[in-house]
Amino acid sequence: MSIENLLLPRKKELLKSWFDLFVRAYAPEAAVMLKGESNQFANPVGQTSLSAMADILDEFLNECRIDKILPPLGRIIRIRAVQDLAPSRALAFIFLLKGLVRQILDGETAAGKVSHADLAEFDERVDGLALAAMDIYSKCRDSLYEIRIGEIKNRTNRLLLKAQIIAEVPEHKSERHDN
Amino acid sequence: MAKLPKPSELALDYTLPKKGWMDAAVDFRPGTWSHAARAKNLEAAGLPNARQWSPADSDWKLPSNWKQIIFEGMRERLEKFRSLRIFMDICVRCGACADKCHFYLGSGDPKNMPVLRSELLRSIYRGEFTLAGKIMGSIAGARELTENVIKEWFYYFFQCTECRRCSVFCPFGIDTAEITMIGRELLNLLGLNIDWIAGSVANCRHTGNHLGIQPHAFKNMIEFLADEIEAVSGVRVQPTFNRKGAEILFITPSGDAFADPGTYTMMGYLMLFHEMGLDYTFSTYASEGGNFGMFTSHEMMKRLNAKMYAEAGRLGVKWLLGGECGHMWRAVNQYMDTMNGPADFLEVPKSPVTGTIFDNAASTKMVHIVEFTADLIRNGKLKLDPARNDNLVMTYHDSCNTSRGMGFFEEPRYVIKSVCNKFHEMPPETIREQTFCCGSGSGLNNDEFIEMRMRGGLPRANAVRHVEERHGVNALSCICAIDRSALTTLMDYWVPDVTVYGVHELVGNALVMKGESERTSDLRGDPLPGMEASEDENI
Amino acid sequence: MNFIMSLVAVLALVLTAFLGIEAAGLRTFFSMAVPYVAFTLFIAGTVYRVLAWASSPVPFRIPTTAGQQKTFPWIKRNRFDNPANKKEVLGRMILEVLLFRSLFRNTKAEIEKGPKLYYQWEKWLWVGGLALHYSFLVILLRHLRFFTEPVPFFVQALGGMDSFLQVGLPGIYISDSVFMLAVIYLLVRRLIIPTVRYISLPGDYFPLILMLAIGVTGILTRYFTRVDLLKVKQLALGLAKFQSSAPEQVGTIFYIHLLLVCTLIAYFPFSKLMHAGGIFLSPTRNLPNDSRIRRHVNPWDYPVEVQTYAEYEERFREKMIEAGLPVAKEIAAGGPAVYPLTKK
Repeated sequence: MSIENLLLPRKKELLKSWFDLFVRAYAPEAAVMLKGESNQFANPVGQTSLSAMADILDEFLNECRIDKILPPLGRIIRIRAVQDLAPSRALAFIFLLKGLVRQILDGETAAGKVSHADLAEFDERVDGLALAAMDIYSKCRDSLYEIRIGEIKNRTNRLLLKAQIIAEVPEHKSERHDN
Repeated sequence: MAKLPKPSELALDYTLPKKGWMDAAVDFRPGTWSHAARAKNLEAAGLPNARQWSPADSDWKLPSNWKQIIFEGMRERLEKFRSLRIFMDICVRCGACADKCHFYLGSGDPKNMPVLRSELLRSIYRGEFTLAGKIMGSIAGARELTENVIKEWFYYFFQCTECRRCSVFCPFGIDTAEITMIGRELLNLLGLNIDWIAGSVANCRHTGNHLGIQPHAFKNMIEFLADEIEAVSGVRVQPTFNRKGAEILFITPSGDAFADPGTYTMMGYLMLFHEMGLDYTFSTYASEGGNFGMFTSHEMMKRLNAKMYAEAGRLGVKWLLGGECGHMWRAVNQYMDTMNGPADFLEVPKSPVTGTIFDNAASTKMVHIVEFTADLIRNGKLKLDPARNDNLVMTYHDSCNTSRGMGFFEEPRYVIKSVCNKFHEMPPETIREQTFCCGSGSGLNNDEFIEMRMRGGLPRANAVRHVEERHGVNALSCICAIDRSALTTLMDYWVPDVTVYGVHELVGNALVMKGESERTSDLRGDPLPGMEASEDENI
Repeated sequence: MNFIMSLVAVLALVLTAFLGIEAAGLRTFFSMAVPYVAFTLFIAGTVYRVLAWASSPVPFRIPTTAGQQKTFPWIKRNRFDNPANKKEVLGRMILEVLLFRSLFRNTKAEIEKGPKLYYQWEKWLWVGGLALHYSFLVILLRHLRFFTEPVPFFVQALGGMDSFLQVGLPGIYISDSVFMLAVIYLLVRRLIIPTVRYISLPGDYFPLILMLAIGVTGILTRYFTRVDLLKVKQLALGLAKFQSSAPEQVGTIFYIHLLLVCTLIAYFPFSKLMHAGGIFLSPTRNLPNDSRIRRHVNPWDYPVEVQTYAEYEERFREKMIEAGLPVAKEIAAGGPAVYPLTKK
């Protein structure tokens, strides 16, 4: 029996532990809010993350199609990319799946239902997920810079068409103005 | 030597030790603060302690008697503002406001809870101005004023957009916006401001608008937009400037003249005025509706706002018409008449088209453009073809200031629904008086603050995404110049398929003008619905 | 930490009264001096605080608007959430003060989660707050029966209604149970919700623990130790008429109760408990949103330095003329004047 088949019936448990660990990366006062409030509008970070993680697991444990996994992965990484976290910190939660799965399948492993090869194969797929997340993360950061440039352009777009029309406040009060 | 961290350590090890909030010092990491006001801008704005400094420096070059300045400043404001005195005393820390702040929701930083943002100031108030605090110190919730406290104030008072959302839920009506405004006033006594605000204030004071646009350029730009209108509709609009004897003086944020997509909203105004044959004028002297003085001090707000009435009086107009803007309208609605009135030299506004008398502006003599247009539509004065906006599935963002500082909810909806066929509301806890901020208000829409803005704007973006997924919404309308620019950025990051529109851009699109040529494109030059094919044929 | 500190303070008070009566026998001190001092502090403190608030003016009209403003007759406005005159403000204030309307807003609408409708009720804080305040009021009014002779009709009626669930003898007051439950809820909430615990100061725990102790001692006097209520009434009437003597043979528990109550009364004006008075003066709630209709005057308004049009034109005249903008004054010989950038 593959690991996925063993995990599927215990998906809820896996999701809960994964989300618990995920939330612990925040300050305790923040973690409470992220976990506590189940209204998606009152708690956008927590609820978006939770639903994205659920969708990721759904697909990850089933067919693992890339076009089905990327959208939820994008939702969560897009948030992580603007949360003042180093990239390593922002993506670390994905690797936690490895340890969690070992914990959950402890009994099965001891009973010989899960082989080392199975685990190694599962780990490799987690790595794949992490690599995909890395792509998304870097795309998000790129888009942030593009957006910044776009905003500056928008702000003065019409001005760029006409030169020399902004009056700067001069450097020193003694300096004479104009011309 | 430190070992390479494992993923589990990276994911779980939260670096801040858990301490009480009173002794935590602020860590100024890039992306969480805005650049310091430059010396020349402080000087030009007439603000004290002009010098070169940065929040990342350890020495902020405060004046040597800074403590005395702060305490005297607090005393003066406690005597001047009942709001401050009451808000310092009556908070019971019930926590109702805690999860109402978009910055807290987006960042999780506990000091972004409105209650703690105010406690930053309250703790100092207790220590200096209450008997209990003087005797019992920290047991009474007091703490000592240190440079670290000042730094904390700077960090968090420039991380509040003065949106007033928390104030709606507070059982005592404590308004964090009021506390932030006064907190910033105190900081400004020490020369602590951000450059995005101080620069705009300096420009506004000397050139008449935030960008520092000179008079001839302002005129050129509006005329340039008139050219664009002619290209789209075949109608030539004829705006006038600084014209004495006009009936109405029209003032809008300068962003509408220069910044996309505000310029399209400006085109909408121009088309509407032309179609109605309005006797109006722009002013280059009072060419800014926005008021970044509001984000500096009450005095600065008054200084910048004074130009409106002064110009209305000089030109001899009968009343004022104001464009789509958020904080401008809070200033007009709640401060202008008190600060710079009475405007007894003006007349109670009366629509020259419908004859409607705007009693609700009987004293300020200033009418909101959306009120004006709603009245026109209601009286059947506009010929509208909403099908021209049929490619847009619209939703509407209530601006914080017009919502919680005015109560302006139905007029914009009435206008939007008259010019757009497809409209869907966002969830109720994210609109009207509970609307979420764009994350960039109160002078925080600067470039270096972008990551914080994306976090703070997440609750708003999240609600937009909800209607995008559910109803296929692809357009977000608003009546605020900062929104038009900041929501565009916010959508680009969080919900890229949604475009931001000003309400009067939509009016301009739908407005059927006398003598217009057949319209094939909207004000942005994009093909109108049904016209895509004919465009292709031309190619 | 803040919680422990407050707990210790309340226990110290209990111990003080216990030792004061049992060991030192200071009955007169605890039954006469303490109440008078506490009451004086309460009155003086409250007057001082209210005067301090009222002495600061309201320079600007800054109501928080939470509903549609008054505009056209064809747009329905919201009179209570966006009052346009004093009468409507009164309505808003009544809703705020009597029903805690803003706190009631603290609600999360239903949302769909998958196929199921998900509903969350977020009004416990509102319920808890309302329960505490109203049960406190009932208890306070009931206590009037100690201070009045004959006991007014409404006090008797209130007592009767309050104990209509005849459980045991004497009848258990509903208000007592509600009060205890509300205080415990608010205290537990403060302790277990980490955000709320994070923001809580000693001044937040102390009154709750104090009220809890008052409740416990009050219940003990009534139901368990059977304090001689007639003696208590004598004392209370005497205090009210300024002609009392310390009664003998009233249980120590009564003195503990009395000291705790006196502490609460004396502490009231110097603490956050004054929110009771502050709400009436809160400028975001007690003003109509009518500053476009009627002028609001700022008593300390002062003139500020403004860039005048003349200065503006002085600075830009040449460019304005060039651009065809009307000017008030043509250019004088000798070129444009210099515009002064900063205040002289």
